[in-house]
Amino acid sequence: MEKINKIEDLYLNSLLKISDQDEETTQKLLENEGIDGVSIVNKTLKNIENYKFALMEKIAANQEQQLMGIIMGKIDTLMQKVPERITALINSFVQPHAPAFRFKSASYSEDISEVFGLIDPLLLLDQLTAIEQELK
Amino acid sequence: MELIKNKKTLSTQELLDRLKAENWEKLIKQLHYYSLNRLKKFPQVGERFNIVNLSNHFADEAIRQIWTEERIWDVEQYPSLYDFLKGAIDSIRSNFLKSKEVITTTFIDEVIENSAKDSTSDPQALLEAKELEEMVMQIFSSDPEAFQVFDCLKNELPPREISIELNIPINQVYNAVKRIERKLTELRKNITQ
Repeated sequence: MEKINKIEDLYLNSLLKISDQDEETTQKLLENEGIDGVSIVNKTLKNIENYKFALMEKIAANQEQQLMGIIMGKIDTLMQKVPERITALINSFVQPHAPAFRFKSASYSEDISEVFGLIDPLLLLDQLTAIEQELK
Repeated sequence: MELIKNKKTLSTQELLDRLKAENWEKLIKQLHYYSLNRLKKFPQVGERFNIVNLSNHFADEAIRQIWTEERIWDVEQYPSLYDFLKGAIDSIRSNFLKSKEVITTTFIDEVIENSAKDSTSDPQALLEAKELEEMVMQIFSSDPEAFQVFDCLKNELPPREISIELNIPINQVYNAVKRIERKLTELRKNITQ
């Protein structure tokens, strides 16, 4: 039995080594097993497209999270120095999309997270950075 | 001072870039074949499950796990994605076999280790190789073509080259491959019965 196993190992390992070096052989070996290599590739590529999309969404969400962290940090600092200007700025960004929105210093981090998707965060960041520079 | 080996992992963006740069058409075929080839080491599985479906599932699962970051690619340990995914398939298969209580007395790593080419000068290994060679001759005594194909495969000759070497059509080589496999399965069954 041990010898048969060894012969079989030798056979399977040889096929694997050949397949690793030669794509055409891999395709034919799959066919030899009744597996349609082309259809396997197409089906898997379709799945990969979905995974790729989900991964890209995850990256975008991470970036948005990071951006929000930076914006919040700047708002925190600037609210200590020029609260009226920051309140007016935030309201000017959000109210065109959500007229009922009123920036409240007590709960602004929650308020902004809720409407973050409505505003242009990069533009807001630019303006906050400009105020920051001005105050230096 | 304690030495800590850092795991080199990729950020999600780096992972996406690396995965996008791979030749997936080639990789998918290689992984599916790898999965099937390794699963054949466990003939008990073939008696209970559809081995082709199962091996496809293992390969697909390994691919899914890396894309969803469920399995983290340590690029330091596995610079090649193919090697990493082969490891993932081994692990998925091993977990499956354990969950189905398939008794595995031989592990793949040992198999690869034990079946290294007999280029050693160790007399014991040479003797063993000779014995195996004789046994192979005996097994395929009624099918000299299968024996020749087996011999060529053992020397890692691809079927295209075997076809030229033996002056037979390539389909005949693949038919011989099927016969070799059938014969080995049959022998194993006869011994275990």
